[in-house]
Amino acid sequence: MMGLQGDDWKENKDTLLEAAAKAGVKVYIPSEFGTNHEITNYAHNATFAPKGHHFHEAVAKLPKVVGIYTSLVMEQTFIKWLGFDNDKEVWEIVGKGDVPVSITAKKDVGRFTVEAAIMAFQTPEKVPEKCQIHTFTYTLQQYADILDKYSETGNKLKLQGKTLEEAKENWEQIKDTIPIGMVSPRH
Amino acid sequence: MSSSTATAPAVAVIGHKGYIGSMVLPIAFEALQQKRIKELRILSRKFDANALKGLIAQGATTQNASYNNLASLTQALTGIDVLISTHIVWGAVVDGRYDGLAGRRLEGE
Repeated sequence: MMGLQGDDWKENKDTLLEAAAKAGVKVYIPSEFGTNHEITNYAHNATFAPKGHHFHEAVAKLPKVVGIYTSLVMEQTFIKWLGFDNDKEVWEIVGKGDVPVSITAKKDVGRFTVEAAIMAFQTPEKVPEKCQIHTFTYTLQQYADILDKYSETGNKLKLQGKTLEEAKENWEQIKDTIPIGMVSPRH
Repeated sequence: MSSSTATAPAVAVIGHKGYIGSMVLPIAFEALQQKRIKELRILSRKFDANALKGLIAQGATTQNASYNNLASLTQALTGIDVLISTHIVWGAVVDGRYDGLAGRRLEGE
């Protein structure tokens, strides 16, 4: 595995766009596949800003660009590192769990991406520049109710609310202990 | 427009071994078998021999490409209608640990 730091990523991605334009690529689906941080408070974050920059560069250089955005990946949402301790049957969540939260299943990411690729080539006017895909949108209370139906112990999950500040503090304490691949793609 | 072979795009995928690539590739192979994609070309800096056999056995074409070399990349993308990149451009793992604010990029293939 090779890590590129600093401005290397930019040079690399610019080369990709230039090559795609020269080769006559008609549709480009960049590596978004996560939150659209241009509509969050993290648009200028050092981690996410490069994605936004690359997207706009692509739009300027290629005939059709489709950004595909997802919510939390379903298969990696209800894990203890995010506060969902299913072994103890306790979920530590921010608030009361009454706010809708979207999740996206891995299969839907693949299916949507390939369908969008084909459709954007055949009928580009029908595919938006930015697509948001979600598999389910329920509150955490509702997700817990659903999972309770499959409880092996017969117990119901207990939801324990905490403040956002407490959750942030907890994240800072545990983030370095999280195995790779358990929260984010490389995490 | 129908999705016949005549209008089926040639699709290239960069980052086939990665997290998102592993979600996209099985569906892309399905579309290839259904002839809704006329070519599925996998680009990589370096292919593992076994992986290469597997990709070809499923009908993909493969192309080595240096991602920092314009001529190499342009050649690898010639004839491609749709490019899907699943390369991460944010965050990083440094020394086996997540460094989410590093603003770094990993290249997995």
